[in-house]
Amino acid sequence: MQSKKLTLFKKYAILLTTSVFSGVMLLSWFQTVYFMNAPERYLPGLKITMSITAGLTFFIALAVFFLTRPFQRIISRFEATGKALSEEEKMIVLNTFGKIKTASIIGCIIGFILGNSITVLVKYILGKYDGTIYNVVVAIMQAIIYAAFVAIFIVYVTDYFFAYYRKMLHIHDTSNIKKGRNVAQTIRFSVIISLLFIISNILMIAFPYFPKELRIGPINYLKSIIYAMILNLAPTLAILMLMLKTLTMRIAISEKQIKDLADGKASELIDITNFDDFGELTSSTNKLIEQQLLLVHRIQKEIQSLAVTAKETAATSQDQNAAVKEIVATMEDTNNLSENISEKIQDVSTLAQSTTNDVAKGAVSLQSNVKKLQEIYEANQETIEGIKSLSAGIANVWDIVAMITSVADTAKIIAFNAELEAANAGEAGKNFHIVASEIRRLADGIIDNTKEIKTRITDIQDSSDKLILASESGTTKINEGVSTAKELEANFNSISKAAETTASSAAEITTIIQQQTAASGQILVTLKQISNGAENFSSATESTSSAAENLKTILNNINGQETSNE
Amino acid sequence: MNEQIVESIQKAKSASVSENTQNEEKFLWLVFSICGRKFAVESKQVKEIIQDSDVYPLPFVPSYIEGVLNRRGDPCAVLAPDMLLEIPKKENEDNENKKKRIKQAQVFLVLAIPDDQVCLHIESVLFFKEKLKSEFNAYHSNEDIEFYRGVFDVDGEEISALNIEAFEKQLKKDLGNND
Repeated sequence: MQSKKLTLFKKYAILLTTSVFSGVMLLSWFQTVYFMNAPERYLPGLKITMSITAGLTFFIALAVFFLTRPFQRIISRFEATGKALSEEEKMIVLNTFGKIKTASIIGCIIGFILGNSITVLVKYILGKYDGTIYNVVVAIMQAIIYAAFVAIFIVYVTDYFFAYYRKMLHIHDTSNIKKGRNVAQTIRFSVIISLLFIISNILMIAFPYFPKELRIGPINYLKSIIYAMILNLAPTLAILMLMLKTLTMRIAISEKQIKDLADGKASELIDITNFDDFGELTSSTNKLIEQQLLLVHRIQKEIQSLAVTAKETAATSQDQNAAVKEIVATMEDTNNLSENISEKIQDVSTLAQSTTNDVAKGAVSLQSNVKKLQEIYEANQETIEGIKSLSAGIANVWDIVAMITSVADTAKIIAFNAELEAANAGEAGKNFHIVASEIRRLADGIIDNTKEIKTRITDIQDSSDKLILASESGTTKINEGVSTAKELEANFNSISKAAETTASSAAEITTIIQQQTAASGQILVTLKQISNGAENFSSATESTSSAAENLKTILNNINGQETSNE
Repeated sequence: MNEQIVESIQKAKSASVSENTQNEEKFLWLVFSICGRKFAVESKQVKEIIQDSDVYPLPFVPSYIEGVLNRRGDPCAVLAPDMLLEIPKKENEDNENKKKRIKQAQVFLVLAIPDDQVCLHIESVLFFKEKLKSEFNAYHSNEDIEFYRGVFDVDGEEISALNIEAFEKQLKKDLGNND
């Protein structure tokens, strides 16, 4: 780390020393050979100049050494840890190079004034200078100009180092207002110094080559100056043009870069060839390009995502549109179905009403039937009573028959007794026996007939009993029929109520279905509007998708390389 | 009716003529029923047929003597021939029902027994049947008392003729009066 720090300082010291000493030697050459027209004084004078320059350089190097110590510590810490610089360290870095540049400029001015113009001025005051006061003034101006030149050089070198180390420390993008001003100040300062340098050249470069007699006297001197100006105009203009060209070229490059960036044509990073302000500007431009590329990349991804989403949305919208159309068709079918149902329900209502009327008629008929059954029941009861009365009469007849039978039996017995008496009477009772026998036969016949009557009466009684049983059964059946009829009447009433309820419900259902149909119609209208909206949305989504594709194409055109990489 | 009676009398006369010519002994049988079975007695052995007369039971007499009845002021012993003849009762009929049935059949044959009033409690009187002696198969029994006299045929049905003297003997035997 120590050697690296010394290397940095050595590099800076060598560059500064060699450049300063080279410049001083060159300037001394110009001064003694061209300005003073005394080449023989160059080497003797160079000793003093070099001594002053060495002292000056030493002090500058010493100042730079101390000034670069905090900077070196930051570099060592960064190289050891690799951590990013804190804000305090960044300020130290920036202040370090600012101080270095300030010290270099002050040192150059003091050094050149002390080392160049003061010598001429002292000699002129002591009378040892063979030039005029004009030469002294020119020497002082030249010292100032050269000091400015060297200072600019030192600033350039310092900025080079500064840019190098800023890049190394990854704070290259730490631009602030001072950095922005630095470029403009440098340019302005360079232009001013260049103008002074041009004026000095106009005044001095060709002047020493004029004959001395031409430089004697104000007129001749003025003529000499004019001639010198004319002779130096071309190379001066050439130098000026070269310098301007150098500046404008750098500016034009940066301008082109920025313009490309502004036009969206910048697709590649620009190589940083110089670590000066322009390099920093290029770095910033690269940073901007990177940000732009990153932004474009993000926008591209977002647009791509947007395109995909738009396509999906379009597809979904089309699906939804189709679904809405299907729903519309279904709703139309439902509407028609509801209308059909409404018609059917109205038919049901009519049928229910008709059923109610029929049931009412049926109930009336049933009541009539019940009445008839009641009459039949009563008639049947009368029949039963009649049959019972008949049975009672038959029972009376039975008694009569029994009495007849008894009489017949008695007659028969009497006839038997008569026959017995006739038989016992012998021949005299024969005829009586015949009469008695006939009477007995008559009694037998009566008995047989009464038996027949008994059989018939029994049959009649059986029939009567059966008739009574049948009538009783008929009564039971009639009662059951009456009960059934009453149940039927109740059922009819229930059916009638149910039919009325059905009719009422059907009417309510009809109303509800009509309301539903109306609501369905409204829903249908709304769905059609939704369908139209969905179609509009679908077309809008397609437009969005198309716009996203167009935007994607534009971005691809902007950043073809990145797009191809994607 | 009268014509029929006259006609019957004429037939009887003609039959009497033919009877006289043949001169064969005849029996006039009174056919009656007891417990559903037909029996017969000779008509001249029957004094009278009584119907619907109350029977008054008598104490200390055999069981076949049901009691006495009032025959126009004269008491008449009522015998139960089914018990003497040992006529089996009808199928599915117990003694009570038999008595009840017999009681319901209030027909009595008053037997022509001299100096005695005896009647048989029968079920019903059926008819008279005249049969030649040759048509009657008489029984010849060695027993002291034989209730059956013989048997004759009526329309293919055998009818047993009862021996009235046997009833008389049995009654006298049981009542201790052999006169």
